[in-house]
This record gives sequence, structure tokens and C-alpha cells, in this order.
Amino acid sequence: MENKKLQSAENIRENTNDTSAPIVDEMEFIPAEAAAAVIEKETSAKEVKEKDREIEADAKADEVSETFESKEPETVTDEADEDNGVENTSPAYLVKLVAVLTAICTCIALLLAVVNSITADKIAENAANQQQKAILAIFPEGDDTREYITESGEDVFIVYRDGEPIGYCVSSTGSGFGGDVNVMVGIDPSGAVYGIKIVSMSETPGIGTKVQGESFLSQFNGQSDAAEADIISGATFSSRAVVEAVNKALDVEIDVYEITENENAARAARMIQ
Amino acid sequence: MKKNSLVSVLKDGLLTNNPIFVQLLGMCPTLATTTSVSNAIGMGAATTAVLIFSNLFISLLRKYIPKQVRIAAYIVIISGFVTTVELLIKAFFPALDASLGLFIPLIVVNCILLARAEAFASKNSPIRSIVDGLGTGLGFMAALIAVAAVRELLGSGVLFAGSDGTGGVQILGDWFSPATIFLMPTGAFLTLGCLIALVQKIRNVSAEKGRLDELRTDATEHGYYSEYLAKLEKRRHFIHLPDGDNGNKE
Repeated sequence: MENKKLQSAENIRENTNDTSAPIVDEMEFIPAEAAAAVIEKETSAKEVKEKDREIEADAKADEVSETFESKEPETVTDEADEDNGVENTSPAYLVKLVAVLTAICTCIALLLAVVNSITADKIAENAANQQQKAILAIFPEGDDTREYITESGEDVFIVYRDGEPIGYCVSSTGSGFGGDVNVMVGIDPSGAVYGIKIVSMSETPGIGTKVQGESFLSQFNGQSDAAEADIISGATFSSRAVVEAVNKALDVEIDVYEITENENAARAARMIQ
Repeated sequence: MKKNSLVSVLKDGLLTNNPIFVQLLGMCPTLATTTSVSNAIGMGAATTAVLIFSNLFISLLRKYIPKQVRIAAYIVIISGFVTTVELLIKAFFPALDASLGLFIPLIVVNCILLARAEAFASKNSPIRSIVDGLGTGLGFMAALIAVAAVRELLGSGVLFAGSDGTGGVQILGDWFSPATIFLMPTGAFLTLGCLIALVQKIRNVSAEKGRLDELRTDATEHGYYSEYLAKLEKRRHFIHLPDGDNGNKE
């Protein structure tokens, strides 16, 4: 292609009255391939310069971090593993990760199995003891308790003295301010409350824990229906929890004499066989 | 004492780097289990036991646990020992279990254990790790007892009440009507805040004294003792030095 020279600016303005025409200085039109070559050279030069700058910046950053790292406190360190900072994702390494974790979990599981086998019986024994203590506190004259499960699945403890039933205990819960309130309710054979013991609760100390007091608990004695119980002012939720538990316990109505007769008969029948 | 000796590790965990008053770790059990001194002792003992064993085992395994899975491994080891301690307490100390309840299994997420595992046990020998676990655990227990003593005394007038809330030594007589707020979370925060402030004040005072000692030795060596005296004047009101510190070293 030939090199063409544009008309100079003055020429354009002279020849036309069009003042909106762009003022273009003398330009040389360069053919396309040559232009591409020039552009390439320029950009590659730029890239080289940028790369140089990057390398310099990296070097400087290394210097700075070195000065900081050298101030680490002196502790006795051991090299834990070899890949300091390099992401090691080889399959062998991943397998190592999984294997180590699996090994640790297996060992811990074994340890827990051993400890559980040692303590499980004792824990069950403790729970049973706690219930027995509560029952004994309510019926101090009883000398034997027998567990009985009603038709509706309730768990009751029948208390005996010299072979005669003197009442039964029901363990029930009510939802209080800070969680469940576990109550052991002692009921005499006629279905009225004989005594109450709070087994566990997590009420506000000093306020909700007032429901443990004798003055509150003794109001239930002799009642066969706890609907009109007095609530401790300032401890409404805790009091209501106890009332709820007592009501639930009173709902479990059994006839201790009948049950005792049935059981004695069954035992006699078995002995004859 | 030597800088990195075992005794210094012990002292570090107990006083200089106390987990509650200085590192401010493990706040949740501090606030929740310090309603009585017996609970505090129980909680401190349980945490110390777990700390010692978890530090020991993590230190023994430190060369074999890869960096990428270390947190998971530490948590598994810690929770294994916490569950062991929980089962043992349930079996042989049921009263303590009834009073501490949920907070024994929560020892797993107590920041102190993971912090000591990551910062110390994974980088030191087993013996040093055991000592560090013991020191940190004892420091934790001492801080718990301090908070619990204040709360129990002011909140109920007795000390060393049993785990079921009864018994104990009546310290303050009938003239004292207990401030129940100290048995509640509000009182826990108040007590803890005041104790931390007290400890920080003591640390600042002793750090200031240490700096002044450095200045004095510096000054006598290099001969600008009068400048040291001038600085001393400014700081005298802060650390209550006796007035008789004259420059008879010049």
C-alpha cells in the first residue's frame, strides 16, 4: 500500500467551511501488519518492565517479613511436618490425613468403651439410690419397697412395713422456671398425699428454691386434689411446677391392697407349682 | 530462675498468664459454676485433670498429626478425656454431678484447653506439656475459688456449702442479710469484673516498678541519674514509692 498523507489541518479548514471537522495533524498511515508488530513490541516491553517490578516487590516483601519473623519468642519447637507452606495434595498425603484421624478416633472410642464398662453399673446404682433415699425420706417407717408398673405404664414404688402396704410413691416432674422440677410424691392408700420430697430442680437460688421449704410442701399433706394450693409470691413458676407434679402424681390411682393381694396370690401359685 | 525451666512454665500458667484473669479464657464456666466454693473446686479439679491428660497426649502425638487436621484431632482427644472425667464423676461423685450438671461436658469447648493444645502442647515436649497443663489448671482453679469465695460469702453468708446448697461454715453472722444478686449472673459479672481490674492494677504496678528498675540500672551505668530522678518524681504518685529515694549513688 502506498503511504498516504492526510491533508493538513489548514488545508481542511481552507477547503471547507466545516468547522466541526476534526483537527488532525499530519499523520502517517501505517499498514496493518506493521502496526501490529509495533504494538506487540511495545506491550512486550511493558510486560518485561512489569515483571521486573513484581520481582523487586517480592524481594522487598521477603525482607520485611524476615525482620518480623526473627522476633518470634524462643520456644522449644519440633518440625511437625515437612510441608511448611506448600500445599501438599498428593493422594498419599490425603490418605495420611484420613488414616491419622481414624486412628485417633478409634483409640479414643476404645478408651471410652473401657471407662463406660467400668462406670455404667455404678451410675445406674446411684440413680436407684437417689430414688430410694427420697422414698425413705417420705415414708420413714417403711422397710421395703417394690416397684410396680401400672396398666398405663406409670412407674410406682409401693412401700411396705412388716409385709403390709402403707402407701406408694410416684416420681413426677413439673416444668419450672429454670427447667424440670423432679418431685417424689408419697400417697397413702386412700389416695391422699402423704408427703412430698423435691428430688432435683434448677430454680433461682434464694427465690425459686423457697419451694423446698416445709411450709410450702406441707400444705399438700392430706389433699387428694392439689387444685387450691397456695403459691409462693415471687416464685410463681416454681410453685406451679410443684403443683403440676403433685397433680400428675395424684392422677395415678392404684389400690395398694388389691395389688398386694394379687401379687401374694401369684407368688403362692408359683410356689405350689 | 532459668527462662524456660519447668518452674517458670508452672508460674506462667498460675500467675503471669493466668487463664481467667490475664488471658480471659474460659469465662463461661467461671460465671456459671462459681456460686459456691465447693463447686468451684470440683470444676477446677475436673478441668485440671483433662488439661494434664490432653496436653500429655497431644504432645506425644505432635509429630504425627498433620497440620491440616490438627484442630479436629485436638478436639477428639480433648472430648475423649472430658467424657471419661464426666463418667467417673457421675459414678463416684454424684453430688458434684448434680450441682455442676451440664458444665462438665461443656469443658470440651472451654477455650483454655484448645488454646494450650495449640500454643504449647503441639510445640513442646511431654514433660513440659504436663507441667503447663498443671500450672494452667491450678491457675484456673485458683481464679475460680477467688470468684466463688466472694460470691458465696456476699450472696449467702456461708462458705464451703455442700453441693446441695446446705451446710457450710457460717462466716457472717445473723446481722448480715445476704445479697442474693451475687448468686445470680449479674453478680457473677460484677465480681469477675472487679477481680480482673484488681489483677490488672497489680500487674501494671509491678510492670511499672520493673521499668523503673531498668531505668535506674541504665542511669547509673550511663551517668544520667538526675534524669532518672526527674522521671521518678513524675511516677511517684502512681506507685507510691517511699520519699527517701535520694541520689546517693552519684
